[in-house]
Amino acid sequence: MNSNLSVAMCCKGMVAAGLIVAAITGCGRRGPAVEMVEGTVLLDGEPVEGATVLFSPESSGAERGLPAGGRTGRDGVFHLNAAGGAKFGAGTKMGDYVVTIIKQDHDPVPPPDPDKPPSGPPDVKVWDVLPVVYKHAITTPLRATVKKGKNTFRFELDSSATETTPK
Amino acid sequence: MKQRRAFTLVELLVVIAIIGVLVGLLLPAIQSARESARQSRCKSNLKQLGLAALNYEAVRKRLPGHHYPYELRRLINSGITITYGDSVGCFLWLLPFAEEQQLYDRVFNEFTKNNASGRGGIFAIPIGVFLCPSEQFRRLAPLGYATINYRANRGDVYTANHAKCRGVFSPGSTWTGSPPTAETKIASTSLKEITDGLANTLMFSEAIIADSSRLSALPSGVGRFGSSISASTAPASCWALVVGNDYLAIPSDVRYPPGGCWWSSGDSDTAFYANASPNTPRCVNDYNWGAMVMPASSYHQGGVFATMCDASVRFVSDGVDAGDPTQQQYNNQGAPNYANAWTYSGASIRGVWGAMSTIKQGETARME
Repeated sequence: MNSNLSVAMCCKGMVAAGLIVAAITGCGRRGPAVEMVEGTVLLDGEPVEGATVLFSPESSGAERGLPAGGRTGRDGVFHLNAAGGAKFGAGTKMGDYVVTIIKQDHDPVPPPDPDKPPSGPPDVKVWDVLPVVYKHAITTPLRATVKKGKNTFRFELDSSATETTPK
Repeated sequence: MKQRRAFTLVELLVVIAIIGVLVGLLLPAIQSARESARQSRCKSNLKQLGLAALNYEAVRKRLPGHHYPYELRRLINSGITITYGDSVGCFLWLLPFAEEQQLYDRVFNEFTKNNASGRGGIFAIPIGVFLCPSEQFRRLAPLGYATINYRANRGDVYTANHAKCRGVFSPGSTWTGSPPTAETKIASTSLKEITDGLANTLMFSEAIIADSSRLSALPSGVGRFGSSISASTAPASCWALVVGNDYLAIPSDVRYPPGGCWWSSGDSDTAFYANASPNTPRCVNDYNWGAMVMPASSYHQGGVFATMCDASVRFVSDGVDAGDPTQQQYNNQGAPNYANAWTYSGASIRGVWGAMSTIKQGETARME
């Protein structure tokens, strides 16, 4: 009888101690609540690899989204990495976004001198692969609204788009 | 019946459980006490460097030059060839003011005799005041230099390491070309130029050293180092490269870890830019001017230490307002020309963190 009581108390004590330890050490950090975002970038219907896609928040106040960026893979698909401590690849907050898409290419880079620390990037010719209208927040016609749950976007770029048609 | 005086099994179990709980409570406390000891050492190093810079300024009337150092430029102008003379950063000149006069003399001698390969030997000696004890990379950098954890403030716009910057550490002298002429002027910053206020302007901060071959060993999101970002001055275009716990593309030529050479003025070695908040990924663009993301970073929980220009040291949270990282930096004409984004002369677009990094943009933003 007596020992049964001690066993029960002992178990309770250990459970309580476990809870205290868990409460003190914490159960992992949590970032801001984000929604899954996946998208595809197409230029004249063809998937674009290696394009950088940036989501800049447009709405303000509590509804304001988190700035985020992603890069397309071979199939033109990207996932978003958001600012503010959210898990990378998990998407971004709900809200309205201005979307800019950049892809550039460049001449081959001369090999660095192995004996010398880098003293500045080499001056190499760089050019845009995608129409520059999509590159700047002030000219891009692309918008996205991230809603609760999984979001799928499709950005169809037009190679004849020019900067004279800002929206 | 005579009662035996002994503990029952249950009593023993209770005692063991209690001891277990106590140890469980104590261990994290010991770990955090050790980390806080490392932090206070790190903080004290930053304070030492701040005082060293102010003492240098008291003697020379200017802060030490970062790139094209005046001390070496003077020798170069008098006809001495110094192979690495253009790429020496501010930290070498702080040594005599941080109780490292002997080391300074020997290193300076190597430079002036021009028999220095700038690596191995004297250049490989770890210098305590340049190293944060929380750092986990404790080896010699691959190219044979001792490493450094502290970073000079180069402002909120990437400027390429030869240029006058919006931050505190500008080149030590004007570049007079080759062969150099006697017209060399001192170009580094003096304290009276810091009109935003010494207590409101960053001087140094810290960054972790990362071996690009071991990226996945780094804490998530902290100070990872990639290359070949698309030429956008938006810091988020660097983050876009991170997939899972690794970078999408690590070119084979990224063999130079950030902080891999203590005496260099290379931006990835000894500079930080406040264009992105602390502890976000960093990238070097190896083909284009104006697109480097090199934020401060640390292994301390939740932020970085920073020395202000009055030599006070403060802790800056990762959550400090650093503006919208998807916003690109345009040049002074508002032209979307990345090549000279550093000519921008208005107020910082990188929030409070950016405002604290500029010396004379007149921002009123303050950190709490």
